Amino acid sequence: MTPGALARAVAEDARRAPGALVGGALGIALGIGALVFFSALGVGIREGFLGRALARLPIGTVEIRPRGGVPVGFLKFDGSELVIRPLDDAALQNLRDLPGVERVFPRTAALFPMRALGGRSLLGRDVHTDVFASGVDAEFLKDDLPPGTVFADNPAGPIPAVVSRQLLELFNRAVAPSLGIPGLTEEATLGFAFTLVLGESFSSGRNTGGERLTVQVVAVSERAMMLGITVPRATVERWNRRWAEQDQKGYSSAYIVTRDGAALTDVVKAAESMGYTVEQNAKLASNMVLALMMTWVAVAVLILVVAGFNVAQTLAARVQSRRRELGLMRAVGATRADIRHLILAEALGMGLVAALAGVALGTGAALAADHLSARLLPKIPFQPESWFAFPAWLVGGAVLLALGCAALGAWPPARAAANVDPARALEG
Amino acid sequence: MTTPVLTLSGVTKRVGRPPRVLFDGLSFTVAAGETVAVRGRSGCGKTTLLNLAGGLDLAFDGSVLVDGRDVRALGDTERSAMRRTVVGMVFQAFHLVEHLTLLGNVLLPARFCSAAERAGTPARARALLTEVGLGDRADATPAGLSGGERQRVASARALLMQPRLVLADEPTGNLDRATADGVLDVLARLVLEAGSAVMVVTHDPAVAARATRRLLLADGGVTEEAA
Repeated sequence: MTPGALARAVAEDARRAPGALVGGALGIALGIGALVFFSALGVGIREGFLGRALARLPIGTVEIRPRGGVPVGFLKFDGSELVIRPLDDAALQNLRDLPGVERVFPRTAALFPMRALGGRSLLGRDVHTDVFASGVDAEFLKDDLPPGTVFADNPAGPIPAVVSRQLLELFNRAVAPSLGIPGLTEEATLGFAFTLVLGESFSSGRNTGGERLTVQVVAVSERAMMLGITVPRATVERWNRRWAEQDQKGYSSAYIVTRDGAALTDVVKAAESMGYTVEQNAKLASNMVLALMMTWVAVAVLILVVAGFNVAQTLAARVQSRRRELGLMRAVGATRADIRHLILAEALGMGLVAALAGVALGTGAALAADHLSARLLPKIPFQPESWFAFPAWLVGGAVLLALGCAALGAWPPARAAANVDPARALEG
Repeated sequence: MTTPVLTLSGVTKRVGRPPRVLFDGLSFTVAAGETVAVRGRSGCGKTTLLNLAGGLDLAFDGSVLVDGRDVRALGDTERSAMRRTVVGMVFQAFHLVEHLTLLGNVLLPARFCSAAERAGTPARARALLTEVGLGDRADATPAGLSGGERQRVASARALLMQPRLVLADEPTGNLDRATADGVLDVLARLVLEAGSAVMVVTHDPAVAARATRRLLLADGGVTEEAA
């Protein structure tokens, strides 16, 4: 049977009994709709929300730190008294020697309190806040520094600082509205100068007559620390020598840049086996979303399995009711394969219609959910335009899954149809 | 001597449970251009004989050759091709597909042909429908057709691929005398034009009377009846 004849036969059969085919397709459409909705939600949250809110480093770059404590500014959250491996120059060299590693950049955290004030020129009023600071080398930030920018320790003048995009987003979405001040653009932020007071803190009430200096924002970068300012490493080390209560052993953490993203997994494993902790907040949150998404996808797949049985039942009933016609086809020259293909093609047609309906259903539900979210939920930092993402692989995969589900469901009735005994089917 | 279109040699067929012998070493031939009527009492195996000849029933001992080929030795694809192009079948119950037009019904065998085999079949189908007096209703469905009209459509379908052997199972069994005669006239004309051999099983003496040979099926065997 040629493909054209097969297509015509399927179209004729669909016109003859559209109700039965719609019934069979409905289950698949619901399953595909649910699958598309939840998969798109998972992808959207992972890429559109968590990707921006948590995954603060470029692909292929990870931050590692000594196991045993998480230093954030002058605070340190100890997970263990045992720091297994200090992150010193020798350790950095060992990391550089790992296969797949391109560069390793140390980071030094400021280990004392500091506060910032200023902003009148930009915000219309001064803002006072405690801040954290971190030091890295200019080379680590070079892709984000505007041309001609000097990112080096400058004891005599303004200290160059880089802030993160996430910090701007947080400020614009959470801080600015609550204070009634305008939000900030990246362009407006560049050149913004404020006063930093080392050794003092609003939150701790510590006011020891600290050192006042001027800090100027020179760049906005995803490589900068998320909640604080990133300044030259030499500056932080100089500050620590003056203000920190204890000497820091080695570096606070290090950024490992791999040659390509594919090497990342091996590098992370190697770093962990060397006794370091890999910054995995983003990965963890992302995995939690993935797990949640997979749960819903499993539900959708369950719907599809049930839909597959429904297809099998629908087609089995159709085969039974068309037994004489199928027998006649065999008698006038249809091969078993012709009959099998006919039933499978009907099922694939049903699956295609169901897939398109399911994708439309899932997309429509996503649009409705976005609309409701925009109307009913408060704005949150890093909120994407849409909670859903529909990459081509998702839509293509859903269509293929629907076709596969229909074909699997149709296989037993197709075989039964091919094995109809024409002599008996045409009796009486 | 031409090769017989149909040759049955020592065909033994058992049916039912426990099995009983329906045919016991049945042997006869049908030559090209012949019209062979097979008569017999109800239950003697007339329809089964047609199913064997058409390759629809393969559960027998002995051999059935259609156009010189052993139907059981063929694979499903070859046997189906044989049913499509060498054999045409006419059934007592007509077996038209109700959702297809008359033209679609006549063209049903062509559906399963290759593009090359299918060439010219739409025109031939229309010509056949005209021949059987239904050319003006080619695009209508069978709903509303009389029994005689249905059988004429079924006859046209059987002749579409210009088969060498037409197998007809009580083609007038459901028709009144006048209608039956009309159908037989049409079938005879089509067969003559196609040069096909015909094996028709019938109760009807009028049908048998039109045949060039008459066989009587009885007690598991077949005997030639005098002209």
